[in-house]
Amino acid sequence: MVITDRPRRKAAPTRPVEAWEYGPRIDLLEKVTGQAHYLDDIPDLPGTVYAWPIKSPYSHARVVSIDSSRAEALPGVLGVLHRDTLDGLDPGVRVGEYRGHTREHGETADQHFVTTDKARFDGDFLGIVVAEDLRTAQHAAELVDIDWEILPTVFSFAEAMAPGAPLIHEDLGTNLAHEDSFEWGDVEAGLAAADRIIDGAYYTGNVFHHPMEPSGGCLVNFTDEGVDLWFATNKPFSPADQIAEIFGIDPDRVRVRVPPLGGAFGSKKITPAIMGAMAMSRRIGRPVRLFATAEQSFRVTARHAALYRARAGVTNDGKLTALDVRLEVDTGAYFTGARLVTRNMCISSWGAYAIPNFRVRAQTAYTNKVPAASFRGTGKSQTTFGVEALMDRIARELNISPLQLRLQNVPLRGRYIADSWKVQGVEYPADTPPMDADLDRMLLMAAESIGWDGNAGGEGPMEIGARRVARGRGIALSLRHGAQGAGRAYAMATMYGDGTVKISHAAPDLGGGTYNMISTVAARSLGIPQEMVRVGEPDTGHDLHFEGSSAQRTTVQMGNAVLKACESLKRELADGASQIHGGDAQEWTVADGAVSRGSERYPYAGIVQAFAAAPSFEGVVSLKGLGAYSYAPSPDRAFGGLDHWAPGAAAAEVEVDLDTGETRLLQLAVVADVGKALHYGAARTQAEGGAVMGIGLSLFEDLVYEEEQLLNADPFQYRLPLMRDIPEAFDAMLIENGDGPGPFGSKGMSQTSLPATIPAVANAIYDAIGVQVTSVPFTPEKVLSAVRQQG
Amino acid sequence: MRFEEQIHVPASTEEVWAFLWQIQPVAACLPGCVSVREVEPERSYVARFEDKVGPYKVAFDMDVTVEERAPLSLVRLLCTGEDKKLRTSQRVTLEVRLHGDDTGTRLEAAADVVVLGVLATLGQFVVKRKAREVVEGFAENLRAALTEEELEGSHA
Repeated sequence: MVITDRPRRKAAPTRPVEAWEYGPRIDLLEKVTGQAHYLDDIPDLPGTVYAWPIKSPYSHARVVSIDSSRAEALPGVLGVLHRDTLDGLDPGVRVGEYRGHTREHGETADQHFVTTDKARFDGDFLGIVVAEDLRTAQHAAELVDIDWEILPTVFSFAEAMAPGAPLIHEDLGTNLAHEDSFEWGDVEAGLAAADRIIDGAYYTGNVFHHPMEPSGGCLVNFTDEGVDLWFATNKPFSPADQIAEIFGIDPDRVRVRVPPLGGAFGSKKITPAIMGAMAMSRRIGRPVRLFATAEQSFRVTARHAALYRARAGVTNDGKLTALDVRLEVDTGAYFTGARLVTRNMCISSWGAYAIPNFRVRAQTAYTNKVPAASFRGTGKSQTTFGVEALMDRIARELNISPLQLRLQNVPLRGRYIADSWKVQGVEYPADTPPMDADLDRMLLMAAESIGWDGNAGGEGPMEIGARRVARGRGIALSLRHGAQGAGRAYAMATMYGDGTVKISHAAPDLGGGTYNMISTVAARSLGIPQEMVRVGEPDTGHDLHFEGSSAQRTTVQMGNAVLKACESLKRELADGASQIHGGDAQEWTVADGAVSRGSERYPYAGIVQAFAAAPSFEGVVSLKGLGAYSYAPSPDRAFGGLDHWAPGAAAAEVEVDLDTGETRLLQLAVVADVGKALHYGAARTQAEGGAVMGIGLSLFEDLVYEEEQLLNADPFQYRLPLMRDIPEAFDAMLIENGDGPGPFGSKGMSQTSLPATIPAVANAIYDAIGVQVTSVPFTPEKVLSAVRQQG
Repeated sequence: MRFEEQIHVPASTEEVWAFLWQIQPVAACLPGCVSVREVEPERSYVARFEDKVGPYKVAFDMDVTVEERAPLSLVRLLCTGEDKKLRTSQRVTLEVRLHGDDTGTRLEAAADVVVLGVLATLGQFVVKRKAREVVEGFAENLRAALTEEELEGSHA
């Protein structure tokens, strides 16, 4: 539908850009012509056979018996693995998003390699069938006879924590999985000093990450030499320890290679089914291929559901004096990412505001849902919706403009959040940098972009044709810790005799342009054309560690590692020049594709060729440089070290149909502080992509658990945003001050627009109809119910 | 999913109550019920249901247990079963209350139906529509059978 009364805007760069910043990404042609090799495009290895998983159709059911004899008798079937046919493997070995030494990290690793006692969610892994062809494997899986005892289910935090609730893990004696807390200042004193105390409760449901490429497939070859595993993951190093533990082999004998990914958002992780395929490859001595389907992907992982309850102390003129938050988190059937996600919710539940006294207490419960784990902006979409919806309630109750309330409470550049804080009751120095972004400017840019002065007061009710509608505008701010992550990032730059450079690394490209970023950094550092740089695919065989492409760390951490690898390569070139042409290495300048000293100038390739040509250096055909990067180790237990803040702002205008409750976006603007865009188009589409994902999460996406069953876990019933849902007036703006810790002043920015978009839409609906919808997504049913509440 | 149906039949509560414990005629009123066998009189039965739901052919062997029985006024049954091939299980709690009046008996039937597994993922709309058809069909068949029986009785 054409919007005639709103500007049609094409987002444009806010500054002049160079060709290399805006030209085609290096991976563009391959991808748009279908030439890129994703996991399913990798050719079969000789002798490859096919696997099909056996999964629970029930959300909670005891496994009484498993009989696979009919399946095993089917011609073409090579074997069935389940709890009774494990070849001596320990079924109790844990698989999932754990960080190694679980006790030290306060984690309960409880998702077994193979389900032995009962299924705890719809999709729990019971075993796997391998056959000569995929269809036979699928048919054989249906012939595995399982006797079930159906058990009662719990599908919410409240149900799980109610007295007498069915226990998901009987051995624990409780459904409480985890607790966390974080605070600074004195909340009770802050609340006592307030003129008003305003509270709210905001619920965010479960959603699936829904990358275009399904999650959970692999190609694996288990031989006497070790394990060769190809799978689509954002963290290639993470599974090695778990694989080594299950199969009793040295982690060094596990080699993981990662093709380009069709999106991840936190869903591309090692799964019990992949372990099962590995076990079958080990048993039959042939490569095994496991295809992921859309329906199975929905059962790999999900975003945590959470209830954000808060009370805020404010003065009559709108200054926040305290914020007291309680979080009720639903982690699903297994612990998986409960510790990480609960902590991320705690450290983001204060939003983006200067609050002198803050406290959050979180409890996380098991339920019979698909186990939840990291999701783009882990924990932030839930808490940002909570705190930003509460800010709008405060603005309305104090009769202050929502924009003005935010402007007078954001921390200005240079301000520290706190001097110290308590994590789980223990005090630590607050080791975070001062605010390094202009949050006030971002808010003003977002508001201005939709032509809004920031004052509340929607338009309507009014009649447009046969429809009775109301319009409203809303704004929101998000703030995440910049590029969080564990360990150091390593990269290697290799220069060959033809002058080309290969970058070896372990940073999977999830689709956001990581390889392009790597080649850009290398080309600019070495002063050579980008087409002279080849970016390798992640391969743990190179032993170049990287935590993984997540937590928007890749540009800063891997980018810096590549930069340092290229600097190291330049030193190597200088050393080479001094050995070949004389003088000290310091006398040689390495830049713009050449090594020079005075009037002498040799192209890089000439140095490499000189080594290769020398009889005594026979075989030396490349020079290498190694680079590493991490931020400084920190004693802080809240953020665990932080090298920059990553804010986002969003402003939205919506139109609500007062008779149907349907919400339509008329305008959406997002602003990200990117430090420096290394590729303007890629950075802007990250901001746009996050905002589109935010539209889906705001208005449509929801995993529905009803009638003791997960009901809509397939692409036909799970509503995603469509092109028609994206407003024509859609603006994504980047702020570039060149002040980030990444290469050339860049920052992590890929998760900034999503968390801000959801509350911006929520607040726009509030502005339109005068009643808050307090549960995401804002479906027509919920909005209509709110409209009727208003009368 | 909960469904409630009411029917009125021109028969006394005693006649209706007696009819309800004749398992073959009652089974004939249940859409999709192809056989029924008594395990323990007025306590336990086994019934087989075959039907089509959406694209699936379903076949459930249901264990039927009489959970509560108040002569002339109430019977509550728990029916559980599984279609192993389809990896779908079903649990139905059926409660029938009888209320006598001057013109006959009013039967109030309430069914709680839970369908789990592959069939449930068809979409609740399809499953709900089928379950409603079964409950409505049962009520209508029961009304017809009891009315017919009454007519036959009055003719005799």
